[in-house]
Formats: sequence, structure tokens, C-alpha cells
Amino acid sequence: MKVKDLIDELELEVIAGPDLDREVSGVYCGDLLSNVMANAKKDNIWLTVQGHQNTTAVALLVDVSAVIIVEGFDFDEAAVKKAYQKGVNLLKSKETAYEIACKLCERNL
Amino acid sequence: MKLPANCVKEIYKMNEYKADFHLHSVLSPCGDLLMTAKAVIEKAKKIGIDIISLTDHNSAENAEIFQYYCEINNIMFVPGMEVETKEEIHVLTFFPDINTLKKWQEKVYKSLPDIKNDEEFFGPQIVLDFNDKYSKKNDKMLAAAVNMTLSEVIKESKNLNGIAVPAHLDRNKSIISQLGFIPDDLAIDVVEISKNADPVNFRKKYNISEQINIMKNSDSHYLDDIRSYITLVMKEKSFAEFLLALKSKNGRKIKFNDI
Repeated sequence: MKVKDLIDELELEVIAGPDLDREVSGVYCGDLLSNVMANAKKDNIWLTVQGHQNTTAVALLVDVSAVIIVEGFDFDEAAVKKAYQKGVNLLKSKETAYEIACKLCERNL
Repeated sequence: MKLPANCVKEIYKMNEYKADFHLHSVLSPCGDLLMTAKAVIEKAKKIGIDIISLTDHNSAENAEIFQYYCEINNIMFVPGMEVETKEEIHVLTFFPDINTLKKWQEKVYKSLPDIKNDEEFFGPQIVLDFNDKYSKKNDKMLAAAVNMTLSEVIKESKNLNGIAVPAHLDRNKSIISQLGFIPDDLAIDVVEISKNADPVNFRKKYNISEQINIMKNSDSHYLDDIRSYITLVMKEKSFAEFLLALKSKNGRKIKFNDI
């Protein structure tokens, strides 16, 4: 499954979508970036409320396929700018991490 | 004209001041009920502290009474507060005087969530009167995050001629735990580590730039925890000199005490 396949299905808003053809594998939920750095896996979809520019940096470091900011939280301007520069996908949802995670689970992720 | 060496030395003569800049009073929900101004400052005096700050969570309503006891005991008081940012990062903020701190407090209060403190769960938040007695309770939920980002807190502190110091980087609710590492473009001069961390190892482990100074405080919630982990090397007890020492400017610096 690709990132772009999830956008319509989960009604996600694309905040930065420089690489929407990426394959998705697995899901990680977390807001403590130190923990995300240690435990998220390459190609995961990462669900968080943390919209700081370091979110983009950690997404790049772990090499996740996309970040979905949940519960209507917003990414900082700097986070979005860096995402375009570095090719990180940033998506947004009004739903909670749990609701999105359930939907991703239904799609065998 | 070249001044003789001993003359230069005299002009730039520095003094050493034992310091502790992170303490909680009975106003912090987690602060022990014995942490009154008189008790804290007398303990500080007893162990030879020269400069102290009070950094209650998101409030500074006990600052004036602490300043009063500092004056009596010939200790310099640095008006301060520990703010919790939107990212749930604890940041120490310091200001040149009580009035500026009050302005800051107004801003912080406006940006706190409108929730009442659950005393049973978090603990009481006691405001002291000028006799060091419990006078009233602050009913805001102080153990909460304000609606300002880390960058905003740093900027706003600077605008009020103060300084923001991200707290206990080696512990939870810190830049490191919440954001993974210190963002490159963060306008900070100093960070704090907890009493358990070693500054040299910490700098190495987290690759902290040499441009950023490290300070270490007691973060006392109990009288027994009060201790001075650093000494400021500077000319005199003033806020201007305090800022220079924190930034290691013009020969001023932070020295770690042997404990």
C-alpha cells in the first residue's frame, strides 16, 4: 500500500506531500520524540500530536513513510518547510490516534 | 598605553558566588509543605548559598516573600518561574525584577488551560503572606502546559529582558525527552541538567554545541534537597552579571562545585 492510497480512504489532508508514492509498512504511535527515535521503524506511518520542526527531523532520521498529525493539531511552519526540502510526507487528520490506528489496522498495516 | 598586569587583574577581579536556581515552594503542587520562604532561605544561608531563585510551576506568587527573606539574609534573589511549554517541555525563566516577573506571570496565566487544580491528586498550591504563613490557595491547575511553544517562551522572556533555560535535559518533560534533541535554530545560551547528570558526559552523549552552556541545580522540592551544584564567577551580585555568567561572556562563567 502506498501513502497516496491512504489519503482518500482516511480523509487525510496533505500538508506536505513530496513523496506520496512511498510504500507503507507498519504503524507507530508516539509523541515523545526521544522514544520515537528509538522505536519507530523505517516505512512506518507515524501518528502523533507533536507538530514541532523536530518531528520532521525525526521522521527523516527514522525514515518513516509519512507522519499523520492527529486530533486537528497543526505542524509548525518550519516543520512544513523542512518536510518539502527533505522529502518528508506530512498529513493531517481530525480523528484521534486510536481511530486512525484502527482504520490502519483494518487495512492490515 | 599598556596597563601593568596587576592593574588589569584588579579591574577584572572576579568573585565566586555559590548558586541554586531551581527550587519549588509550597506554591508548586509537588512542593513539600515545609518549603516556605523562611525555611528555604535559612537553609540556603546555612549551606553558604549566595544567589538563589524560586522557580514554581507556571506561577510566581511567592516570589516577593522569597525576595524579602533573601534581603534579610544577604542573598541575591533572581526572580524566576518554571514554565511548561505547549510541547510539555519544562523551561526555567529568569527576569531582572519582580515587576517584570509579574508581567510574565500575567502572560502565563492567560495561556494556562481554564481548569481548577485537583488538590487531592496533584497537591495543594499555597501562597504565603509576609509572615511566611499560609495565606490562601492558588486554584489554577499549575501542573499543566501553557499554550506557548518553546520558541515563544524563549522569545517572550528575551523581550522582557530575561532569559529562558530549558530545564533538566537528562530527565522527562525536557527538550530531549519531548523533541529528541536540541533544534539547531533554538536561540538559547544555557541548558540545565539535573543533579544526577555529569556535564562532560552529557555534552558528549547529546552532542551539545560548545556555544551552549550547561548549568546544574537542585530542583528541590524538599528542604533536604537544597544544595549548590554551581558557582557563578562574576564581578558582583547583579542581574546583568548573572546573565553574563550564564552566557560565559567577558570572563564570567559557570563553575561546577565539587560535591
